[in-house]
Amino acid sequence: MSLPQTAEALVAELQKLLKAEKPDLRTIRKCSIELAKLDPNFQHFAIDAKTLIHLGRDSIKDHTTALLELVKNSYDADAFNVDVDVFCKNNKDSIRVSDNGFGMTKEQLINFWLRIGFSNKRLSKVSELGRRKTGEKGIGRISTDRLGANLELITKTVQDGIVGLKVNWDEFDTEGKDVTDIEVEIFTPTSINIPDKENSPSLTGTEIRVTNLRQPWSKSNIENLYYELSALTSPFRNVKDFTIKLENDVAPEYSKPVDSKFYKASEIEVTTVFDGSNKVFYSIKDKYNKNEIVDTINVEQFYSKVIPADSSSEVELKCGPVEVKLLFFLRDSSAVSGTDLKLSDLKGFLDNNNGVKIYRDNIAVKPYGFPKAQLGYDWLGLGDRKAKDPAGISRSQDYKVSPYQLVGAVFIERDSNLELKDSAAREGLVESEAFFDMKEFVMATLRLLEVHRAEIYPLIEKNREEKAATPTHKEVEKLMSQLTSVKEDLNFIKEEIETKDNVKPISFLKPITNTISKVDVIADDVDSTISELLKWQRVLSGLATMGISSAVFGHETEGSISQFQGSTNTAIKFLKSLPPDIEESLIELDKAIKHSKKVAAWGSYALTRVQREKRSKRNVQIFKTIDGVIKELKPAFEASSIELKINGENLYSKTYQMDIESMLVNLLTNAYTASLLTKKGTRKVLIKVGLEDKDDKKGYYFSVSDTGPGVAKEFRNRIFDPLFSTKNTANNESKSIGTGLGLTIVKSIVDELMGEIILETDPVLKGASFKIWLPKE
Amino acid sequence: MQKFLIVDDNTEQSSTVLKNIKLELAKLNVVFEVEAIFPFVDPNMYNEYITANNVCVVILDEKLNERANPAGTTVNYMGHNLVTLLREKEKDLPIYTITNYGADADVQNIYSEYDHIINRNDFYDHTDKYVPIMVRAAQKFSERSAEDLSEFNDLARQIAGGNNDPKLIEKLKALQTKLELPFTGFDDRKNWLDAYEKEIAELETLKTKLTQKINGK
Repeated sequence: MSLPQTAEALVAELQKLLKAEKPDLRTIRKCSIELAKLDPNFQHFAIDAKTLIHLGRDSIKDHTTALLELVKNSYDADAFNVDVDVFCKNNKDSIRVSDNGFGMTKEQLINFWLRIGFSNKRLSKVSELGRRKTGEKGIGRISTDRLGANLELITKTVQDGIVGLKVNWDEFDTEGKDVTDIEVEIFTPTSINIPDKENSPSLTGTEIRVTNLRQPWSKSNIENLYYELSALTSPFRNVKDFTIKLENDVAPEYSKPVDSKFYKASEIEVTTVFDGSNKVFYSIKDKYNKNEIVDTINVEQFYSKVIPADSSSEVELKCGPVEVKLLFFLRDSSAVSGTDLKLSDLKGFLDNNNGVKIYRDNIAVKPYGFPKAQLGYDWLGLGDRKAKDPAGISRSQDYKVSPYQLVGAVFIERDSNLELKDSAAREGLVESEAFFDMKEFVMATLRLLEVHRAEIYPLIEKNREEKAATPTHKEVEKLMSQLTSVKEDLNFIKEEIETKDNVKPISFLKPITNTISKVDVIADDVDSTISELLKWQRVLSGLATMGISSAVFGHETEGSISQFQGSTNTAIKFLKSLPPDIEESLIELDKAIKHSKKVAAWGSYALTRVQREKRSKRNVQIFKTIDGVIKELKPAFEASSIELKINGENLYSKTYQMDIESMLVNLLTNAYTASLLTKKGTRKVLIKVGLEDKDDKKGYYFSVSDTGPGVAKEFRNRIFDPLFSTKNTANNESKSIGTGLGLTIVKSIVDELMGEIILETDPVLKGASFKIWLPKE
Repeated sequence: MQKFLIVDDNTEQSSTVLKNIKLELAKLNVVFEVEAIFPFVDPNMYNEYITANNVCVVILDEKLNERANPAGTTVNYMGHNLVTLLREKEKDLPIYTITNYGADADVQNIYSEYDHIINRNDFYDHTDKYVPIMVRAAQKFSERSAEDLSEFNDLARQIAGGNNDPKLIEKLKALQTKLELPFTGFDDRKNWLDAYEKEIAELETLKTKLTQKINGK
């Protein structure tokens, strides 16, 4: 509908619209906006609709992160259960996140959810249930755009019943439209599909459905999603505090309740069970012993084991039967070594879950173990306890656990723990004698953990020293000796079978079982030795690559340092001259700043070459990784008038980022040196990245080509040999002879990753072209 | 006016060196032009440029082959190659290199061809030490050039006046070579005179015979 252009006509139109029996609110709004634009004295900022795209789609890393934000919003909305569905095969195309959190009223939907930039997470960092809010402020709504073009949000509250809205994000992705021009439909659905709460239909909740998905989901995406979601869930299986159920048609093995894997990273796990009589069952598991310690003792002995001998020997617990589980974690890389967990994720998990919670009938009892505003609700006083006695583990008798390293649960039941009563005046339990007995039992369990940790600490240190001191050849000798022992056992069995008549198979059961166990141990040892070696090889390759590239590119940095120094000196001279020459001084200072940034960039390049997270096998965005390295080295190439370009497509593969970077840097170093010898025309280096299948195997490639002289046919079968280099003294070349290691490193990585490397002459650039193909995981 | 010539493919770098030299020259109250140029693609152009522009000091960067000129061309020689080429004709011209690669074997192997190999950072820190050295070298070079020309002039006059002393001729030849003057060959001049006199003598003989013939009629 076209509106009048003049103020008078608009006023007349508005009056007509307002007088209508059923006012057309949409046209009234449009008319009012047009009228306001004609105000000669006051105007307003307009916001381009594309701004939302920039805030959302362009700034959220990937679709897994976007979906995770929606689940975090459910967590922050105090949901107990969340259903996450991802269906994108067989003509299905939808993602659904549905929870039984507190939902939104119509007013909240319109005034909060539709208000870009608003987040009530700024008002309070903690939810009503006391959960530490996990989601990013104000991002959740926009993250749906990252997932798909169409959003349908339905929400239910006791006050307003069911209300919904529909958004088509693609409408925002057009030029010249104002955010306010795009309409969001509000509707009143008749039903909502949300999880039940405590086996009854929930009165509140929110269901989000996204369709017209932006990109397909792969098996590794689902695996990654499952892993990320597990950080939000409790490590204790029977807890019903916050459960997530994932359903999908991409990787059906992950269609199940999300289970936390973070308990795998615990150093020590202690469980104590008091059965209400006079017995305490306890079990202690730690990372260093395969055998679990399981024992039963009297309550008095339990307390005497862990509290000073001069205390009363008579103990009576009024709390009733109670079970306590405590998980102790180290907050360093040793905690995740040997697992596929990331340290940053473990820390996130600990930040969300640290503390000892009380679960009655598997539901958490506020506020025990929940963070509150700035201070965690540390009902056991662990923080104060540690602060008063901060002794490290080496002072075993005084050692106390830090609250941020402990994830614990106390399980009680309403019917069995009658003396543990709800407080009428405030949240929590009545702090009666029964409550203090339970508390003391938890503390005794904690002391058991601390004593055990102190006991095993010398063993851990000894193992660390032995491991560090044991050279590889000794490890190999040990493995060989173990294998020899296995061989002897098998030979014995063989002889028994060959030499004895009437041999009963059952008589070999035990020897064979023992042998199998030995083989298992050996296999584990071999695996860990090889893993350790490969890990070291990876790091050393990375360091060697950095050394090689520093020798070649480092001179550029040296030049920048000189220029920085020279320009600064010169600027000072100009300022000191009479009269001071400000203009020249500023010119030199600009140069100094430019070159200082180059130096900083080189420093950053060097520091990021062997970062820890690059050493583990993860889903890597190959093009982005390669592009990142190119951006870092580009200034050095440009300084030598070498055009450096990349062409390719986005692709993911599960691999070691350090390996990709090491191979690339070595090839680029060679290409740089070769390009300096370009006889005619512009010096160029071109990198290509793409998908390529080979022999029915899915894979990808990246290639580096240059305009240099190429590699003579005579040398092609030797260039991967260690210490062989074609960079010898020649006219017009510095005598920085090649190390002969770069391509050897590349080849060894390619072989380990089961890929291929080919050397050809580039048909366009005429120089060498190295192409690496790798299988895609 | 005499000139300091800086040859460097890195214009930021050369302009900083140029400014430092100019500042120092102003303090010393001496008058020299200072110019920074991009290396010539054809290295044979330097001699002509040096002569035509009255260059009395040359300052080279070592890594001349890295950056492209405005036309997008890079040169295929380095500073140490250029020094060797320049020394073929310019034995006494003060040539310095300001570089961070002074310790490279390429540069060290022709150490004696340079008047001085100066570390770049050191130059910036001690411009007040190095520029006076360059100025003195430039002045001596200019004086020697003037002396040589004057001596050449004297010798040429003497020999043209008929002084055939072999020692003088040798000295003149040497100066011709040094000053790159065209070689006129004084031995050739004597031979020419001898040949000329022989021709004259033959003509005289012919004249006598003709006179006799005419008179004997």
